[in-house]
Amino acid sequence: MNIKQRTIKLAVEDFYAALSMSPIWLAMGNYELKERHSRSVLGPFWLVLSTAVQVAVTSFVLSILFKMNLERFLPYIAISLILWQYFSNAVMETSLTFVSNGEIIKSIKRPYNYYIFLALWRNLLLSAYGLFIFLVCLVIFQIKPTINFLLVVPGLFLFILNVYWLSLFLAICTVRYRDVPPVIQNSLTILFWLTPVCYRFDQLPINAQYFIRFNPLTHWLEVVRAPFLMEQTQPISWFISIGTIIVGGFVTGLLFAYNRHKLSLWV
Amino acid sequence: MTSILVEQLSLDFPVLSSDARSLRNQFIINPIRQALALPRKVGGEITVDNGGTVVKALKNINFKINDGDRVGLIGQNGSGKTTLLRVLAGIYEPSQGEITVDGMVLPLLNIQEGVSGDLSGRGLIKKRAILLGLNQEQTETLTEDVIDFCDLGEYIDMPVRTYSAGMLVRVTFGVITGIKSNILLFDEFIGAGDANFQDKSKTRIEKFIGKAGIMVLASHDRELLNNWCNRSMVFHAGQLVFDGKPQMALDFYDEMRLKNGSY
Repeated sequence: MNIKQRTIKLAVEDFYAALSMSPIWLAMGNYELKERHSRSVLGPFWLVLSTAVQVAVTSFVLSILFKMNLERFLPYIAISLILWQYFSNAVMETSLTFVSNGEIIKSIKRPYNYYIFLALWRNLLLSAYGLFIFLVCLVIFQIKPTINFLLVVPGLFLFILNVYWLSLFLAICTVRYRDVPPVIQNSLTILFWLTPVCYRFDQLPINAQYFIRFNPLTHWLEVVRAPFLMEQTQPISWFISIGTIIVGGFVTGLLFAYNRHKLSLWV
Repeated sequence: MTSILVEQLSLDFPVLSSDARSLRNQFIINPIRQALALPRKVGGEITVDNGGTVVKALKNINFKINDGDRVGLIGQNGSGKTTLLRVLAGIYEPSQGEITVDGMVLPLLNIQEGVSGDLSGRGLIKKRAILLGLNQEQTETLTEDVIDFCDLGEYIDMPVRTYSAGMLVRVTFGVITGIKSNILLFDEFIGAGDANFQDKSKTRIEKFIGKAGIMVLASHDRELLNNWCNRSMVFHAGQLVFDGKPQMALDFYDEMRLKNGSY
Protein backbone atom coordinates (compact mmCIF):
# COMPACT_ATOMS: atom_id res chain seq x y z
CA MET A 1 0.00 0.00 0.00
CA ASN A 2 1.56 3.27 -1.02
CA ILE A 3 1.53 6.48 0.99
CA LYS A 4 -1.49 8.00 -0.77
CA GLN A 5 -3.61 4.93 -0.15
CA ARG A 6 -2.48 4.73 3.44
CA THR A 7 -3.31 8.40 4.04
CA ILE A 8 -6.86 7.92 2.75
CA LYS A 9 -7.23 4.67 4.68
CA LEU A 10 -6.29 6.32 7.98
CA ALA A 11 -8.78 9.12 7.38
CA VAL A 12 -11.57 6.65 6.61
CA GLU A 13 -10.65 4.61 9.66
CA ASP A 14 -10.86 7.76 11.77
CA PHE A 15 -14.41 8.32 10.52
CA TYR A 16 -15.58 4.78 11.20
CA ALA A 17 -13.82 4.62 14.55
CA ALA A 18 -15.69 7.76 15.62
CA LEU A 19 -18.98 6.25 14.41
CA SER A 20 -18.37 3.14 16.44
CA MET A 21 -17.81 5.34 19.48
CA SER A 22 -21.40 6.59 19.15
CA PRO A 23 -22.56 5.31 22.58
CA ILE A 24 -19.79 7.45 24.05
CA TRP A 25 -20.41 10.75 22.31
CA LEU A 26 -24.16 10.32 22.53
CA ALA A 27 -23.83 9.90 26.30
CA MET A 28 -21.25 12.70 26.61
CA GLY A 29 -23.49 15.08 24.67
CA ASN A 30 -26.38 14.47 27.04
CA TYR A 31 -24.06 14.79 29.99
CA GLU A 32 -22.46 18.05 28.82
CA LEU A 33 -25.85 19.64 28.30
CA LYS A 34 -26.93 18.68 31.79
CA GLU A 35 -23.71 20.16 33.13
CA ARG A 36 -24.34 23.42 31.32
CA HIS A 37 -27.69 23.84 32.99
CA SER A 38 -26.70 22.52 36.40
CA ARG A 39 -26.57 25.88 38.13
CA SER A 40 -29.38 27.67 36.35
CA VAL A 41 -32.90 28.09 37.65
CA LEU A 42 -34.93 27.43 34.54
CA GLY A 43 -32.46 25.01 33.01
CA PRO A 44 -33.16 23.85 29.48
CA PHE A 45 -36.57 25.45 29.61
CA TRP A 46 -34.72 28.75 29.26
CA LEU A 47 -33.85 27.81 25.70
CA VAL A 48 -37.45 27.05 24.86
CA LEU A 49 -38.51 30.37 26.30
CA SER A 50 -35.88 32.42 24.52
CA THR A 51 -36.59 30.76 21.18
CA ALA A 52 -40.29 31.36 21.63
CA VAL A 53 -39.77 35.04 22.40
CA GLN A 54 -37.43 35.50 19.44
CA VAL A 55 -39.84 33.84 17.06
CA ALA A 56 -42.81 35.81 18.37
CA VAL A 57 -41.13 39.20 18.15
CA THR A 58 -39.52 38.59 14.73
CA SER A 59 -42.76 37.31 13.24
CA PHE A 60 -44.77 40.15 14.65
CA VAL A 61 -42.47 42.91 13.41
CA LEU A 62 -41.88 41.39 9.98
CA SER A 63 -45.52 40.58 9.40
CA ILE A 64 -46.28 44.25 9.87
CA LEU A 65 -43.40 45.38 7.63
CA PHE A 66 -44.21 42.91 4.88
CA LYS A 67 -47.95 43.36 5.38
CA MET A 68 -48.33 39.60 5.66
CA ASN A 69 -50.75 37.35 7.38
CA LEU A 70 -49.27 36.44 10.77
CA GLU A 71 -50.88 33.01 10.72
CA ARG A 72 -49.06 31.99 7.60
CA PHE A 73 -45.87 33.76 8.52
CA LEU A 74 -45.19 32.72 12.10
CA PRO A 75 -44.69 28.97 11.58
CA TYR A 76 -42.36 29.78 8.69
CA ILE A 77 -40.29 32.12 10.84
CA ALA A 78 -40.31 29.65 13.71
CA ILE A 79 -38.85 26.75 11.74
CA SER A 80 -36.46 29.02 9.83
CA LEU A 81 -35.01 30.56 12.97
CA ILE A 82 -34.69 27.20 14.70
CA LEU A 83 -32.88 25.68 11.74
CA TRP A 84 -30.70 28.75 11.30
CA GLN A 85 -29.76 28.74 14.98
CA TYR A 86 -28.73 25.13 14.70
CA PHE A 87 -26.68 25.89 11.63
CA SER A 88 -24.86 28.90 13.03
CA ASN A 89 -24.29 27.45 16.51
CA ALA A 90 -23.15 24.10 15.13
CA VAL A 91 -20.76 25.59 12.59
CA MET A 92 -19.34 28.12 15.04
CA GLU A 93 -18.91 25.69 17.93
CA THR A 94 -17.72 22.75 15.90
CA SER A 95 -15.12 24.78 14.04
CA LEU A 96 -13.57 25.54 17.45
CA THR A 97 -13.85 22.02 18.79
CA PHE A 98 -10.31 20.87 18.02
CA VAL A 99 -8.83 24.01 19.53
CA SER A 100 -10.94 23.88 22.68
CA ASN A 101 -10.23 20.17 23.14
CA GLY A 102 -6.53 20.75 22.48
CA GLU A 103 -5.33 19.42 25.81
CA ILE A 104 -7.35 16.24 25.52
CA ILE A 105 -6.21 15.69 21.93
CA LYS A 106 -2.63 15.82 23.18
CA SER A 107 -3.25 13.44 26.05
CA ILE A 108 -5.12 10.54 24.47
CA LYS A 109 -5.53 9.16 20.98
CA ARG A 110 -9.08 9.53 19.79
CA PRO A 111 -10.54 9.82 16.27
CA TYR A 112 -10.86 13.49 15.31
CA ASN A 113 -14.35 12.86 14.02
CA TYR A 114 -15.35 11.98 17.58
CA TYR A 115 -15.07 15.64 18.57
CA ILE A 116 -17.02 16.72 15.50
CA PHE A 117 -19.84 14.24 16.09
CA LEU A 118 -19.98 15.21 19.75
CA ALA A 119 -20.31 18.92 18.99
CA LEU A 120 -22.93 18.35 16.27
CA TRP A 121 -24.95 16.08 18.55
CA ARG A 122 -24.81 18.51 21.47
CA ASN A 123 -26.15 21.29 19.28
CA LEU A 124 -28.82 18.99 17.88
CA LEU A 125 -30.05 18.34 21.40
CA LEU A 126 -30.19 22.06 22.06
CA SER A 127 -32.23 22.59 18.91
CA ALA A 128 -34.62 19.83 19.87
CA TYR A 129 -36.05 22.18 22.45
CA GLY A 130 -36.76 24.69 19.72
CA LEU A 131 -38.45 22.09 17.55
CA PHE A 132 -40.84 21.55 20.38
CA ILE A 133 -41.91 25.18 20.03
CA PHE A 134 -42.44 24.71 16.34
CA LEU A 135 -44.66 21.69 16.81
CA VAL A 136 -46.75 23.75 19.21
CA CYS A 137 -47.05 26.38 16.46
CA LEU A 138 -48.24 23.77 14.00
CA VAL A 139 -51.01 22.80 16.36
CA ILE A 140 -52.00 26.37 17.24
CA PHE A 141 -52.17 27.50 13.62
CA GLN A 142 -53.95 24.30 12.63
CA ILE A 143 -51.65 23.40 9.79
CA LYS A 144 -52.96 20.25 8.20
CA PRO A 145 -50.49 17.36 8.02
CA THR A 146 -49.74 16.19 4.49
CA ILE A 147 -47.69 13.42 2.95
CA ASN A 148 -44.83 15.89 2.47
CA PHE A 149 -44.07 15.55 6.15
CA LEU A 150 -42.52 12.15 5.48
CA LEU A 151 -39.63 13.90 3.80
CA VAL A 152 -38.56 15.46 7.11
CA VAL A 153 -36.23 12.59 7.90
CA PRO A 154 -34.32 12.52 4.61
CA GLY A 155 -34.31 16.32 4.63
CA LEU A 156 -32.78 16.49 8.10
CA PHE A 157 -30.29 13.83 7.10
CA LEU A 158 -29.08 15.87 4.13
CA PHE A 159 -28.99 19.02 6.23
CA ILE A 160 -26.86 17.45 8.92
CA LEU A 161 -24.50 15.88 6.39
CA ASN A 162 -23.88 19.29 4.84
CA VAL A 163 -23.30 20.85 8.25
CA TYR A 164 -20.91 17.97 9.01
CA TRP A 165 -18.53 18.41 6.10
CA LEU A 166 -18.55 22.18 6.43
CA SER A 167 -17.79 22.00 10.16
CA LEU A 168 -14.98 19.52 9.68
CA PHE A 169 -13.46 21.70 6.95
CA LEU A 170 -13.63 24.79 9.14
CA ALA A 171 -12.36 22.93 12.21
CA ILE A 172 -9.22 21.93 10.33
CA CYS A 173 -8.73 25.50 9.07
CA THR A 174 -9.23 26.90 12.57
CA VAL A 175 -6.53 24.68 14.07
CA ARG A 176 -4.06 25.97 11.52
CA TYR A 177 -5.21 29.58 11.17
CA ARG A 178 -6.45 31.07 14.39
CA ASP A 179 -8.19 34.05 12.86
CA VAL A 180 -10.76 31.92 11.05
CA PRO A 181 -13.50 32.04 13.74
CA PRO A 182 -14.13 35.79 13.36
CA VAL A 183 -14.33 35.27 9.60
CA ILE A 184 -16.96 32.57 10.17
CA GLN A 185 -18.86 34.81 12.56
CA ASN A 186 -19.03 37.65 10.06
CA SER A 187 -19.93 35.32 7.21
CA LEU A 188 -22.80 33.92 9.23
CA THR A 189 -24.16 37.38 9.89
CA ILE A 190 -24.07 38.19 6.17
CA LEU A 191 -25.48 34.82 5.17
CA PHE A 192 -28.39 35.29 7.54
CA TRP A 193 -29.70 38.00 5.26
CA LEU A 194 -28.66 36.37 1.99
CA THR A 195 -30.63 33.24 2.88
CA PRO A 196 -34.42 33.12 3.03
CA VAL A 197 -34.74 32.95 6.82
CA CYS A 198 -36.76 36.05 7.68
CA TYR A 199 -38.49 36.11 4.35
CA ARG A 200 -39.82 33.65 1.81
CA PHE A 201 -37.95 33.02 -1.39
CA ASP A 202 -41.12 33.93 -3.30
CA GLN A 203 -41.20 37.36 -1.74
CA LEU A 204 -38.05 38.34 -3.56
CA PRO A 205 -38.12 40.19 -6.88
CA ILE A 206 -37.06 38.00 -9.82
CA ASN A 207 -33.53 39.38 -10.22
CA ALA A 208 -32.90 38.89 -6.48
CA GLN A 209 -34.25 35.35 -6.71
CA TYR A 210 -31.71 34.61 -9.42
CA PHE A 211 -28.92 35.68 -7.08
CA ILE A 212 -30.18 34.02 -3.89
CA ARG A 213 -30.65 30.72 -5.70
CA PHE A 214 -26.89 30.33 -5.83
CA ASN A 215 -26.62 30.32 -2.06
CA PRO A 216 -26.48 26.63 -1.09
CA LEU A 217 -27.92 27.44 2.31
CA THR A 218 -31.18 28.42 0.63
CA HIS A 219 -31.51 24.81 -0.44
CA TRP A 220 -30.09 23.22 2.69
CA LEU A 221 -32.78 24.92 4.75
CA GLU A 222 -35.48 24.26 2.18
CA VAL A 223 -35.18 20.45 2.20
CA VAL A 224 -35.89 20.41 5.93
CA ARG A 225 -38.24 23.34 6.22
CA ALA A 226 -40.71 22.49 3.47
CA PRO A 227 -41.60 19.05 4.88
CA PHE A 228 -42.00 20.56 8.35
CA LEU A 229 -44.40 23.11 6.92
CA MET A 230 -46.24 20.34 5.07
CA GLU A 231 -45.23 21.92 1.77
CA GLN A 232 -43.69 20.37 -1.28
CA THR A 233 -39.93 20.74 -1.62
CA GLN A 234 -38.60 22.16 -4.86
CA PRO A 235 -36.58 19.44 -6.63
CA ILE A 236 -33.74 21.91 -7.24
CA SER A 237 -33.15 21.98 -3.48
CA TRP A 238 -32.70 18.21 -3.38
CA PHE A 239 -30.21 18.35 -6.24
CA ILE A 240 -28.16 21.14 -4.74
CA SER A 241 -28.16 19.60 -1.26
CA ILE A 242 -26.97 16.25 -2.53
CA GLY A 243 -24.52 17.92 -4.89
CA THR A 244 -22.89 19.96 -2.15
CA ILE A 245 -22.54 16.86 0.01
CA ILE A 246 -20.68 15.10 -2.79
CA VAL A 247 -18.40 18.00 -3.71
CA GLY A 248 -17.94 19.37 -0.19
CA GLY A 249 -17.49 15.90 1.24
CA PHE A 250 -14.84 15.09 -1.33
CA VAL A 251 -12.86 18.30 -0.77
CA THR A 252 -13.14 18.03 3.02
CA GLY A 253 -12.21 14.36 2.88
CA LEU A 254 -9.01 15.18 1.04
CA LEU A 255 -8.19 18.09 3.34
CA PHE A 256 -8.73 15.86 6.35
CA ALA A 257 -6.77 12.94 4.94
CA TYR A 258 -3.68 14.99 4.13
CA ASN A 259 -3.66 17.09 7.30
CA ARG A 260 -4.90 14.59 9.87
CA HIS A 261 -1.46 13.72 11.19
CA LYS A 262 -0.56 17.38 11.61
CA LEU A 263 -3.62 18.35 13.66
CA SER A 264 -2.17 17.22 16.98
CA LEU A 265 1.04 19.07 16.17
CA TRP A 266 -0.76 22.30 15.29
CA VAL A 267 -3.22 22.38 18.14
CA MET B 1 3.16 -10.76 24.02
CA THR B 2 3.29 -7.02 24.42
CA SER B 3 6.10 -5.10 22.85
CA ILE B 4 7.03 -1.70 21.49
CA LEU B 5 9.44 -1.47 18.58
CA VAL B 6 10.76 1.91 17.50
CA GLU B 7 12.98 2.16 14.43
CA GLN B 8 14.74 5.32 13.25
CA LEU B 9 11.99 7.42 14.67
CA SER B 10 12.14 11.13 14.04
CA LEU B 11 9.54 13.80 14.68
CA ASP B 12 9.59 17.30 13.25
CA PHE B 13 7.52 19.76 15.17
CA PRO B 14 6.23 22.85 13.41
CA VAL B 15 6.39 25.80 15.75
CA LEU B 16 3.99 28.27 14.27
CA SER B 17 4.52 31.92 14.99
CA SER B 18 1.47 34.10 15.45
CA ASP B 19 2.19 35.48 11.99
CA ALA B 20 2.06 31.98 10.51
CA ARG B 21 -1.17 31.29 12.36
CA SER B 22 -2.94 34.21 10.78
CA LEU B 23 -4.95 33.51 7.63
CA ARG B 24 -5.05 37.20 6.87
CA ASN B 25 -1.29 37.59 7.12
CA GLN B 26 -0.43 34.49 5.11
CA PHE B 27 -2.74 35.08 2.20
CA ILE B 28 -3.27 38.82 2.08
CA ILE B 29 -0.78 40.95 4.00
CA ASN B 30 2.44 39.06 3.29
CA PRO B 31 1.87 38.63 -0.44
CA ILE B 32 1.15 42.37 -0.63
CA ARG B 33 4.31 43.14 1.28
CA GLN B 34 6.26 40.86 -1.00
CA ALA B 35 4.81 42.49 -4.09
CA LEU B 36 5.66 45.94 -2.77
CA ALA B 37 9.10 44.70 -1.66
CA LEU B 38 8.42 45.74 1.93
CA PRO B 39 10.37 44.01 4.72
CA ARG B 40 8.48 41.28 6.62
CA LYS B 41 7.52 42.17 10.14
CA VAL B 42 8.95 39.43 12.29
CA GLY B 43 7.92 40.58 15.74
CA GLY B 44 11.12 39.50 17.40
CA GLU B 45 10.75 35.84 16.49
CA ILE B 46 12.98 33.61 14.46
CA THR B 47 11.17 32.96 11.21
CA VAL B 48 11.92 30.87 8.19
CA ASP B 49 10.05 31.27 4.89
CA ASN B 50 6.45 30.54 5.85
CA GLY B 51 6.91 32.15 9.22
CA GLY B 52 7.50 29.06 11.28
CA THR B 53 10.45 27.13 12.60
CA VAL B 54 10.63 23.39 12.63
CA VAL B 55 12.01 21.82 15.77
CA LYS B 56 13.44 18.33 15.51
CA ALA B 57 11.76 17.03 18.65
CA LEU B 58 12.95 13.46 18.20
CA LYS B 59 16.00 12.42 16.20
CA ASN B 60 16.56 8.90 14.99
CA ILE B 61 15.35 7.00 18.03
CA ASN B 62 15.79 3.23 18.11
CA PHE B 63 14.74 0.79 20.82
CA LYS B 64 12.72 -2.29 21.60
CA ILE B 65 10.68 -2.68 24.77
CA ASN B 66 9.62 -6.20 25.68
CA ASP B 67 6.94 -7.54 27.93
CA GLY B 68 7.84 -7.23 31.55
CA ASP B 69 9.86 -4.05 31.00
CA ARG B 70 9.30 -1.10 33.28
CA VAL B 71 11.08 1.73 31.52
CA GLY B 72 11.93 5.09 33.02
CA LEU B 73 12.54 8.12 30.79
CA ILE B 74 15.06 10.62 32.09
CA GLY B 75 16.11 13.91 30.63
CA GLN B 76 15.97 17.62 31.08
CA ASN B 77 12.81 19.56 30.39
CA GLY B 78 12.38 19.78 26.66
CA SER B 79 14.56 16.77 25.87
CA GLY B 80 11.73 14.86 24.22
CA LYS B 81 10.25 12.63 26.95
CA THR B 82 6.68 13.87 26.67
CA THR B 83 6.94 13.94 22.89
CA LEU B 84 8.08 10.33 22.83
CA LEU B 85 5.24 9.31 25.15
CA ARG B 86 2.79 10.99 22.82
CA VAL B 87 4.22 9.13 19.85
CA LEU B 88 3.91 5.85 21.78
CA ALA B 89 0.31 6.77 22.57
CA GLY B 90 -0.42 7.39 18.90
CA ILE B 91 -1.11 11.08 19.40
CA TYR B 92 1.78 12.24 17.20
CA GLU B 93 2.71 10.35 14.07
CA PRO B 94 6.39 9.97 13.15
CA SER B 95 7.86 12.23 10.46
CA GLN B 96 10.36 9.49 9.70
CA GLY B 97 10.80 5.95 10.91
CA GLU B 98 8.42 3.32 12.20
CA ILE B 99 6.76 2.48 15.45
CA THR B 100 5.11 -0.89 16.04
CA VAL B 101 3.08 -1.35 19.20
CA ASP B 102 1.77 -4.74 20.21
CA GLY B 103 -0.73 -4.45 23.05
CA MET B 104 -3.39 -2.15 24.44
CA VAL B 105 -2.00 1.24 25.31
CA LEU B 106 -3.41 3.30 28.15
CA PRO B 107 -1.74 6.69 28.32
CA LEU B 108 -1.84 8.82 31.40
CA LEU B 109 -0.37 12.08 30.23
CA ASN B 110 -2.66 14.68 31.70
CA ILE B 111 -4.36 14.29 35.06
CA GLN B 112 -6.61 17.31 34.42
CA GLU B 113 -8.39 15.48 31.62
CA GLY B 114 -12.15 15.69 31.99
CA VAL B 115 -12.06 18.07 34.93
CA SER B 116 -14.61 20.84 34.54
CA GLY B 117 -17.07 22.88 36.54
CA ASP B 118 -18.51 21.32 39.67
CA LEU B 119 -17.72 17.74 38.74
CA SER B 120 -17.14 15.64 41.87
CA GLY B 121 -14.50 12.94 42.27
CA ARG B 122 -17.19 10.33 41.85
CA GLY B 123 -18.42 12.11 38.71
CA LEU B 124 -14.91 12.27 37.29
CA ILE B 125 -14.48 8.53 37.72
CA LYS B 126 -17.76 7.91 35.94
CA LYS B 127 -16.91 10.35 33.15
CA ARG B 128 -13.51 8.82 32.52
CA ALA B 129 -15.00 5.35 32.59
CA ILE B 130 -17.53 6.35 29.92
CA LEU B 131 -14.78 7.91 27.81
CA LEU B 132 -12.76 4.72 28.02
CA GLY B 133 -15.71 2.79 26.67
CA LEU B 134 -17.09 1.04 29.74
CA ASN B 135 -20.77 0.22 29.92
CA GLN B 136 -23.10 1.08 32.81
CA GLU B 137 -22.38 -2.06 34.84
CA GLN B 138 -18.63 -1.91 34.37
CA THR B 139 -18.68 1.77 35.35
CA GLU B 140 -20.49 0.97 38.61
CA THR B 141 -18.01 -1.75 39.51
CA LEU B 142 -15.06 0.42 38.63
CA THR B 143 -16.39 3.39 40.61
CA GLU B 144 -16.70 1.30 43.77
CA ASP B 145 -13.29 -0.20 43.27
CA VAL B 146 -11.62 3.17 42.69
CA ILE B 147 -13.34 4.93 45.60
CA ASP B 148 -12.10 2.15 47.81
CA PHE B 149 -8.55 2.43 46.46
CA CYS B 150 -8.37 6.24 46.63
CA ASP B 151 -9.16 6.41 50.30
CA LEU B 152 -10.43 9.99 50.06
CA GLY B 153 -13.39 9.55 52.41
CA GLU B 154 -16.11 12.14 51.93
CA TYR B 155 -13.90 14.21 49.61
CA ILE B 156 -14.88 11.91 46.80
CA ASP B 157 -18.14 13.81 46.51
CA MET B 158 -16.58 17.25 46.55
CA PRO B 159 -15.75 19.14 43.33
CA VAL B 160 -12.52 18.00 41.74
CA ARG B 161 -11.40 21.59 41.30
CA THR B 162 -10.90 21.69 45.10
CA TYR B 163 -8.56 18.69 45.09
CA SER B 164 -4.84 18.91 45.62
CA ALA B 165 -2.58 17.48 42.92
CA GLY B 166 -1.99 14.41 45.05
CA MET B 167 -5.69 13.73 45.47
CA LEU B 168 -6.24 14.02 41.75
CA VAL B 169 -3.36 11.62 41.15
CA ARG B 170 -5.06 9.08 43.39
CA VAL B 171 -8.33 9.25 41.50
CA THR B 172 -6.65 9.14 38.11
CA PHE B 173 -4.43 6.29 39.10
CA GLY B 174 -7.32 4.34 40.47
CA VAL B 175 -9.26 4.68 37.23
CA ILE B 176 -6.62 3.66 34.79
CA THR B 177 -5.50 0.65 36.71
CA GLY B 178 -9.08 -0.49 36.78
CA ILE B 179 -9.20 -0.67 32.98
CA LYS B 180 -7.99 -3.56 30.88
CA SER B 181 -4.76 -2.76 29.14
CA ASN B 182 -1.20 -3.97 29.14
CA ILE B 183 0.87 -0.92 28.21
CA LEU B 184 0.83 1.98 30.63
CA LEU B 185 2.35 5.36 29.82
CA PHE B 186 2.86 7.89 32.60
CA ASP B 187 4.09 11.45 32.31
CA GLU B 188 5.67 12.78 35.48
CA PHE B 189 2.73 12.85 37.85
CA ILE B 190 3.26 9.84 40.07
CA GLY B 191 5.62 11.85 42.24
CA ALA B 192 2.74 13.97 43.49
CA GLY B 193 1.34 11.11 45.54
CA ASP B 194 2.57 10.70 49.14
CA ALA B 195 4.84 7.82 50.22
CA ASN B 196 1.98 5.70 51.49
CA PHE B 197 0.12 6.14 48.23
CA GLN B 198 3.21 5.37 46.18
CA ASP B 199 3.58 1.99 47.86
CA LYS B 200 -0.07 1.21 47.33
CA SER B 201 0.18 2.27 43.69
CA LYS B 202 3.19 0.14 43.03
CA THR B 203 1.37 -2.94 44.28
CA ARG B 204 -1.65 -2.06 42.19
CA ILE B 205 0.42 -1.58 39.05
CA GLU B 206 2.18 -4.87 39.54
CA LYS B 207 -1.14 -6.60 39.92
CA PHE B 208 -2.54 -4.71 36.98
CA ILE B 209 -0.02 -5.24 34.27
CA GLY B 210 1.34 -8.34 35.90
CA LYS B 211 4.32 -10.01 34.39
CA ALA B 212 3.39 -9.50 30.76
CA GLY B 213 2.74 -5.81 30.71
CA ILE B 214 4.87 -2.82 29.83
CA MET B 215 5.15 0.44 31.68
CA VAL B 216 6.87 3.56 30.39
CA LEU B 217 7.23 6.39 32.83
CA ALA B 218 8.82 9.82 32.54
CA SER B 219 10.07 11.17 35.83
CA HIS B 220 12.64 13.29 37.62
CA ASP B 221 12.17 11.33 40.86
CA ARG B 222 15.25 9.14 41.39
CA GLU B 223 13.79 6.91 44.06
CA LEU B 224 10.76 6.27 41.92
CA LEU B 225 12.92 5.35 38.96
CA ASN B 226 15.03 2.97 41.03
CA ASN B 227 12.03 1.39 42.75
CA TRP B 228 9.72 0.99 39.83
CA CYS B 229 11.89 0.52 36.75
CA ASN B 230 14.14 -2.22 35.49
CA ARG B 231 15.40 -0.09 32.61
CA SER B 232 15.99 3.58 31.91
CA MET B 233 16.52 5.69 28.84
CA VAL B 234 18.22 9.06 28.93
CA PHE B 235 17.17 11.72 26.44
CA HIS B 236 18.99 14.85 25.46
CA ALA B 237 17.77 17.35 22.84
CA GLY B 238 15.57 14.77 21.16
CA GLN B 239 18.14 12.01 21.03
CA LEU B 240 18.36 8.76 22.95
CA VAL B 241 21.78 8.90 24.61
CA PHE B 242 21.65 6.04 27.07
CA ASP B 243 19.61 2.84 27.46
CA GLY B 244 20.32 0.56 30.42
CA LYS B 245 19.84 -0.09 34.12
CA PRO B 246 18.21 2.76 36.10
CA GLN B 247 21.11 3.50 38.44
CA MET B 248 23.60 3.52 35.55
CA ALA B 249 21.28 5.75 33.56
CA LEU B 250 21.09 8.19 36.46
CA ASP B 251 24.87 8.22 36.77
CA PHE B 252 25.20 8.87 33.05
CA TYR B 253 22.66 11.67 33.30
CA ASP B 254 24.53 13.30 36.20
CA GLU B 255 27.80 13.10 34.30
CA MET B 256 26.19 14.62 31.24
CA ARG B 257 24.81 17.50 33.25
CA LEU B 258 28.21 18.22 34.76
CA LYS B 259 29.84 18.16 31.34
CA ASN B 260 27.26 20.39 29.69
CA GLY B 261 26.99 22.70 32.68
CA SER B 262 23.72 23.15 34.46
CA TYR B 263 21.26 25.39 32.67
